[in-house]
Amino acid sequence: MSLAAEMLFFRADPCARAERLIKRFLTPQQRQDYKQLWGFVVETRDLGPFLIMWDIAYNIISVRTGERFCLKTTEESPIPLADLLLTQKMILECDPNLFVARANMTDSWSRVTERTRAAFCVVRARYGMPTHAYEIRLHECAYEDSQCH
Amino acid sequence: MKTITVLNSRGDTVVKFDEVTGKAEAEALALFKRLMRSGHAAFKVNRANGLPDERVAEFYALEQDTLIVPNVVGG
Repeated sequence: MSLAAEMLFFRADPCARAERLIKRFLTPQQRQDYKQLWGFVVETRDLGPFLIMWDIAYNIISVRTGERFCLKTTEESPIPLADLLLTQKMILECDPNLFVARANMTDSWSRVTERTRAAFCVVRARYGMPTHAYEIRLHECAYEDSQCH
Repeated sequence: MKTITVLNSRGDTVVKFDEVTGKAEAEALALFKRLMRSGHAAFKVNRANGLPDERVAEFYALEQDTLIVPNVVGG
């Protein structure tokens, strides 16, 4: 794709713009996790690490407790999914009080995808935490191709 | 030049302004105030000397790069 065509593509496609933007804000480790696990880990000052998954609801998971959180933009401000993940990352890192005040929480794992369970296990193991309660082996997850990845 | 990146339905919109010459500063200030009033949150990003990103509420405290995200609620 020529440079001009590429610029037109990114200008026209909000999803592509959002994907390009979030990757600028991720560390190399987060970028690698985003590609391989469909999520990345954010360290917070007081609340410990969180896994932010590429999903629309209850996609923020406390690595310590397994509690799942939902934080969305208001209906007046729809944004591409990658922009939502970037929003969640910024708030977790810079204003955890806002996150605690606004996010809804559930400790249920009844409708969590295999992809999320697998990613969570990988991250928990990375922190030396037990994974048996969430375990589904990584190779059982079929990672889908996506235009956004 | 300072840069404000606003996340929105188009992905993002980038606004540049110059505090020294005043170029586009009034427009940037108006935009910043409007977004803060509607519940958006602004963050200093890509900061000098490796400083961590930080939330900012005052236009005149903005640094080189600012990211503004929409208002958020529990899902």
